[in-house]
Amino acid sequence: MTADELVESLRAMLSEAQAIALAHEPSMEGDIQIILAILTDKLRCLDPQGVYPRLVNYE
Amino acid sequence: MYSVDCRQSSKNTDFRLDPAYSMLSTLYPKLDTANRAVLEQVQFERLRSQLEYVYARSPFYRQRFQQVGFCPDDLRELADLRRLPLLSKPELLADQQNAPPYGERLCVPSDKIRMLILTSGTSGIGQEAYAMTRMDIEYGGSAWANWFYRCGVRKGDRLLLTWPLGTNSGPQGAFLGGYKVGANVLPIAPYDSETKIRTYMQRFDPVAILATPAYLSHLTILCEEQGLDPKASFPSLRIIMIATEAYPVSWAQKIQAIWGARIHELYGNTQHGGLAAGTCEAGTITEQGSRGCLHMDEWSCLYEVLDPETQEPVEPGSEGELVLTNLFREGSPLVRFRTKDRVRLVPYHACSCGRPTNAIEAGTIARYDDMIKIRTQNVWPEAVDATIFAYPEVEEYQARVYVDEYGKEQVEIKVEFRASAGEADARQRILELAAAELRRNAGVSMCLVEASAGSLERFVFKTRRWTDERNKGLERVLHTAGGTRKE
Repeated sequence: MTADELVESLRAMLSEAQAIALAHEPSMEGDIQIILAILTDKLRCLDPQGVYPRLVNYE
Repeated sequence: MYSVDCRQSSKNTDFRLDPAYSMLSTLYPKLDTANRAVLEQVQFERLRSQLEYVYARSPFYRQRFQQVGFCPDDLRELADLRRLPLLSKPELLADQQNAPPYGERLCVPSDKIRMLILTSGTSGIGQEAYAMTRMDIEYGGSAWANWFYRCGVRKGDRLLLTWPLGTNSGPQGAFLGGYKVGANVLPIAPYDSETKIRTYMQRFDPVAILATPAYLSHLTILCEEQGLDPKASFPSLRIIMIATEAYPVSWAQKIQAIWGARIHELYGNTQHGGLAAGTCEAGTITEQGSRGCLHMDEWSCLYEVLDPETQEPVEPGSEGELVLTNLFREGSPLVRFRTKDRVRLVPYHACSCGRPTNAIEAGTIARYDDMIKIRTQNVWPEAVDATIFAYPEVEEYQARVYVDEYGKEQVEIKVEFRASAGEADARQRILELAAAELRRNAGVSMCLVEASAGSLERFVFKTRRWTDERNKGLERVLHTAGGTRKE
């Protein structure tokens, strides 16, 4: 997997995680925020020139 | 010309270097291999976003910006940040007092806060409160993970942490960073030193250990007393990571020889939220015996090194006060915060590792104020004054911080009583009560002893009550450990 493909995959995962977070499912509430934070932070480090929303804006 | 040749020093074959130290194998290659222009572009974008963020969410910052007629849209280049005023610790503490517990600089609602971290130190004097969101926690952990990787820590490596977990940002950041890099993390702080060596270090043979310089000296002397040769007893150990105190180059060289491991240094502070700066592959000293450097995490913070008097940027190679602005922090961001830490600026191009981030000189970070870091805790002499002089029977005191014969950091406070202080029992009781209060408030045990009447010098400036003799203690390792001890 190339670096670009990795970033694309992480973006897709972030998108899915955001959709799950919007469901506000109690059994996922805390865990999905951890996943969102990890993905956003990882993208910030792997693709520093990308633009990422702040977590608090879409939790 | 100020320069640090990391490539040369990393050729040192005395160390069991991991080939993956190469720049081709970094945890975040785009951060390490970007050029300076890309870094500054990212900094500018993040800074603009951060200023808009704090302006929109924090009455504290909005008021500060408005006082100088600054609007986030006014930011056209990084240098425009200097139009904003510097922010000091007393201002943060006043803000917290007016709007407890986090102050009006808090940028998130309470349900977004996942953790609280406090600056270490004596309560009421030094404790700034920082709200951490999930994102803030991850970002702090990533900064640590990146540095661990740079030091050579890899997935599955046994990583020993000797710093106690608490409300300080450092120990929890180190734990999370080790976890994120995939290390096998052993937080062994609660155990006594002998147990650490016998039970954990010998049994689990760590690859890396995180400690303070004084504690490392203590472990070194303890090993020698127990007849252990660290290099032979811990064959996997190749990375020693230190922070919090300045140290002589000769000490670092000796420790490296005794332990057969490379020393790395980090600089962390609560205001950064994670690991603010850390050595690259070369470690703390070059092969030529000069000091190495700690690359700053400029992807997450904007750093200025300023002359504390003129507030103008210092020249490369000069000392100045480190001022930081968070670029990606959600809970309690800081804009142009004066750390009071005195650092020597090393420009990015002076280090041959190729990273685009500016650095600070290893082993020489000090303070502009009179705060003293003791066993990773921040201790302010004025807070000790407040505790001791709360007893009207006390006339004067004098304190010294030193490393004892076992390599442990100690604080001895000599207290002189007034003639009217009462009998010996009453004076002893005061010493015990004050010692208990200091331990409770400062988090550091201090040994209080009575001084005879008139024996202590009277001071005009409170800082002169304190002397720091720890460097002498660190140097003791040169003469007592590693087979050079004279019986």
